[in-house]
Amino acid sequence: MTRTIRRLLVGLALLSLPTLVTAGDLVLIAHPSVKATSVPRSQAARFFLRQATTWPDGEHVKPVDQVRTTSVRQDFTRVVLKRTLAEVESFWTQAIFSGRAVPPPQKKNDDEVLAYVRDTPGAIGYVDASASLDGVKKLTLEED
Amino acid sequence: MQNFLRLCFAGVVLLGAWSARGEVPIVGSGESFRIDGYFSLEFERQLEKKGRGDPNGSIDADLFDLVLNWSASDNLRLAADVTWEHGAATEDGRGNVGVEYAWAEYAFTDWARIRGGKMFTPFGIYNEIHTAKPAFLTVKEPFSTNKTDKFGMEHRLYPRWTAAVVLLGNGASGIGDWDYVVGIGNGDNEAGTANPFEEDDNKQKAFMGRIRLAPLPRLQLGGSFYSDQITEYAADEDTGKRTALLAYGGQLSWSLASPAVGIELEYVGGDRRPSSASGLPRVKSNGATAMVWWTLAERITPYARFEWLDPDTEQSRDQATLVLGGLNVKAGGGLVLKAEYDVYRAGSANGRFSEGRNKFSEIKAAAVLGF
Repeated sequence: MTRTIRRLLVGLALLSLPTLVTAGDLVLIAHPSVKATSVPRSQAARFFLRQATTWPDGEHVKPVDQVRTTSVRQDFTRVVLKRTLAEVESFWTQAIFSGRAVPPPQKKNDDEVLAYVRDTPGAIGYVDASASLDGVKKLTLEED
Repeated sequence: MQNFLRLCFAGVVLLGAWSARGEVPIVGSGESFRIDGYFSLEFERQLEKKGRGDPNGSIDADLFDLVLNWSASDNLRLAADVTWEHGAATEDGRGNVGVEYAWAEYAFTDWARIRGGKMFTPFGIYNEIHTAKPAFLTVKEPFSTNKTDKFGMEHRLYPRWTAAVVLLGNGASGIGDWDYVVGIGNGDNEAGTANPFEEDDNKQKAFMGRIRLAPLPRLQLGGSFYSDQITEYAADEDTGKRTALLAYGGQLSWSLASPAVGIELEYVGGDRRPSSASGLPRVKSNGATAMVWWTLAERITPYARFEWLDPDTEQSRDQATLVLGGLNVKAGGGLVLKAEYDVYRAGSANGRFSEGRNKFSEIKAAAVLGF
């Protein structure tokens, strides 16, 4: 009986842990000044769509995107933004012309993203999981 | 002598380049300053002999548009949208050059930002993107809810632009993502006695607002309102009387990820109450649109839309409808091609489509290059 209760408790504890998003081969990274160690998927999406602009401690979020031709951008758009590239481009077209917001700067590859994130307090970006993460902080992506 | 001039020219160029080093590029997509825009070329041809379309099949150098954004700091942004319409040539009084919007915005937080300047009236789905041809599928924005003065009404249900101060913001809650805008502005001056973006022609201000909620990731609901008191003039003199103007609307947008189909519904109602002294009747109006689309391979989108407008609910045979079907193709590199078939129908008492010219069809096409 005790063993059953223990198993149930362990099971509940495991369920209450944040679920990691299966983000394929990408890693979410941030500037070392960012205090957060993990980000819920929906919050990460809001950061990159400029719908949320501050970290929980008040620091301004500086998202950096990759150009549409990189495979990591396509994975990120599907897994984190939960949209297609065409939908995201349509979103930004409407946002720009209506004056709502402008999209994050786009970098050509992982190295440029890493350099930007390393040098920009508050920055958040994503790179291929095989990239060297020297000088940046790896963030855990949680399922909501 | 020629060599000396060449040397002088080269020196000037080098001096200019040296003095400009490290400056923010004039054209760019950097973090603090960026320029976006588009160019659109359109074609319209009415298929019947009689109608209110274009029987000649004209090529329209529709728009060249620049959107400028400058982020002075993390909290302060300046934005402007400048257009050159129909091959503007002011020397000949042709076309139109316009500042669609120019405003500054300060963000206290995501849910509280203050914006001031000339702006699109924040109303419904289309008003803030009505000039932005890359931002919607069809060749033109809806007549029945956004361009009512071209569809049988004497006036628009609400003005397209306003000089205003608005509070706006967005956030996420248990019921979904939301955004809002509320504001106060000069309102319109339909008599054109003063520039409403510079000087209000009466003490009564216009009030406006919109709220949108996304209870599901691909479903958005919204409601808008606009109210104003329009000055009544007699021989260019303010009579002291006012016409009360109220517009209100609701919107719904819903789409699926796979298949990539979507639907968009919008309703706008209007109530225009002149003073009793004017002798003019009260006019209530209703306009609606319903649109469906299906995107194939993320690039090719067939679409269909139905538009309906009742300019005056007390008047019979003045209603107008537009049924259109078309194809929107994203050809790559920012190029969008649109082709469309439009069918207009209107009652004989409609203010624009008079008897004999109230049933016709048009083909429309557009090439839009966004950057």
